[in-house]
Amino acid sequence: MAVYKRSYKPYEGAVTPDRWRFLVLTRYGFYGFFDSRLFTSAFVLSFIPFLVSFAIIYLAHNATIRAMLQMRGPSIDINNYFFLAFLGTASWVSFLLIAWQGPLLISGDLANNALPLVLGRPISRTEYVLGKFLVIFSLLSVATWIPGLVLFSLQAGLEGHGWIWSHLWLAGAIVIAAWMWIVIAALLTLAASAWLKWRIAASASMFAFFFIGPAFGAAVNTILGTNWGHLFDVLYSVKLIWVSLFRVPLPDAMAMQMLGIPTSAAWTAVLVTCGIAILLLNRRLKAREVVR
Amino acid sequence: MAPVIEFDGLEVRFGPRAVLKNLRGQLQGRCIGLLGPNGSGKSTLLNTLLGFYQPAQGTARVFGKDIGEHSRELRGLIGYMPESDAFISNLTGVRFVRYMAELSGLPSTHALERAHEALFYVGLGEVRYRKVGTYSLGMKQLAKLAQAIAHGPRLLFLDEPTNGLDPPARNRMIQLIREIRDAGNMHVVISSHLLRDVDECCDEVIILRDGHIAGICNLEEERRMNRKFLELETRGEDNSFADAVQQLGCECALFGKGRMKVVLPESIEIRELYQIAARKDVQIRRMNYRRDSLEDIFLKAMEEVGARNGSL
Repeated sequence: MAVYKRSYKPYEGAVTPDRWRFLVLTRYGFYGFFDSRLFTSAFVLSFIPFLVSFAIIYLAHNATIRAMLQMRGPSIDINNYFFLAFLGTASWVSFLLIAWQGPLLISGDLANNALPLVLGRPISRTEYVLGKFLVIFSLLSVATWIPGLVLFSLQAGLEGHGWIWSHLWLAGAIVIAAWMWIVIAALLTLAASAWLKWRIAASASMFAFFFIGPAFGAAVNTILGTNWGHLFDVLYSVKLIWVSLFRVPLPDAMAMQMLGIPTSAAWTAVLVTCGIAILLLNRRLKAREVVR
Repeated sequence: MAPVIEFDGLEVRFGPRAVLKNLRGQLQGRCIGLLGPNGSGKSTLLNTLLGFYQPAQGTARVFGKDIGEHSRELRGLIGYMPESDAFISNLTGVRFVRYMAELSGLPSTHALERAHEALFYVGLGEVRYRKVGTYSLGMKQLAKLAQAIAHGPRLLFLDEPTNGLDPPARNRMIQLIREIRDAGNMHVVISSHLLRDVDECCDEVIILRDGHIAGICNLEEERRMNRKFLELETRGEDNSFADAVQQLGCECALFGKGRMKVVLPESIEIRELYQIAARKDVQIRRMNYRRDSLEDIFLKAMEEVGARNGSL
């Protein structure tokens, strides 16, 4: 019906496939993020680590340009340490972005009881979380493992001589390490977003989680004279897994104080953290899916 | 006519407390009023039909589909306007309604078109690019209505649609509901404790009290029967007057304190009532012709359930 004809008419057109409808939530999540110019600018700036790494790899393989720029001394080795450093930097930068804008994802729906409107449609609670999760997953992917693989491809292309085949495990390490970090960051962001209405409080809680955990873990280690207190420090567990995935040699890992607990325990700590975040999310959303 | 909603022993519990108790019955009106005092289970019933609460026992069917087995499918057929504020404050009106329509399954372009139409239809066309958070209370109610109808549902749940509206806004809302009822093939369920709202829109009512169905009444049929009755206020009545009136062939209902309703067959004249009153030494203080209003139906249902529960 035309807008000037103010009479109600039923809709008789096509409908979208039921299975992929949760992607609407993801699309509108992106709208919400990029509505903010500040976020858009910060998102663009988050590519700086990638551009710097790209330049370093290029320079490492181009002696002529190094000479033109009067760069003396040995070129940087492009190895597992390089990719570990890149991923660490990119992950932290992207986390800052998500910690700022991410809490709006669910709290915006909870603030004025919009959740019953969303869940009163053919969208389940799981699909709702999945739709919101994909917003963070996509953004962090663009900032972490996708540029990581681009750098890996660049290095493979410039190095030649079968470098890619002997270092294929490095590509796997980049993807697995980044995915693990993204899942933790996304679930913590969504849980904070579901429980705290104020964005500043939610952002602060995410940072607090990474600071209180290490402090508590250190206290446990000191009092009990053990290393198992590191289990309360998720960041430590993440670093430990990364060190293992990137095959950092034992002496270097010891120098990085990354041998407190077994890697399997670190994986368990990460999985438990994710499980708790999912439980918190489920509990909050279930309680708020009807207006009380 | 096929029933819109059927209750088959539906019971909903919050922990140990039963909120809806063994509901049985059928509703088939075009516009159904869901009446009951505060806390009687109206909103719980709507939320159960939407699949937010699982029945502890029994079930219900909407358009013949079980609410447990076809919950997802039914949500696509239902438009829902909740009682309290429900909106996303940082979205413009048109983006909010479009978002909701897309979640109901409309393709993006169709959803945009329908969002514009729905907002114009409810009277928010001029403010559709303003953020919903800046709308007045009445405008927010209309925005809620727009998002509920944008995807063209077959059944529309309106939970207290006139809540907090001033008289002109209320009239506008009632007018819209009536237009929606008359326009397409959509059925409407209005949950309200305002009898006037329901009376003006609905052709069938279900009355809840303490989680029970206190009554289901086809208002349209009542109106068609157009039954007039006499409302009497008497003094000195000890049931003998009512018995005598009934023996005369009239239907008679007593309401205490000498108040009674009498349906007078055409063959009987009012004079005969006065003669009986004189014989029984009963004073008739007041006598009015009336029609059964929704208020009467509601009060009668409340009293019947109260008497059944022994609480009145």
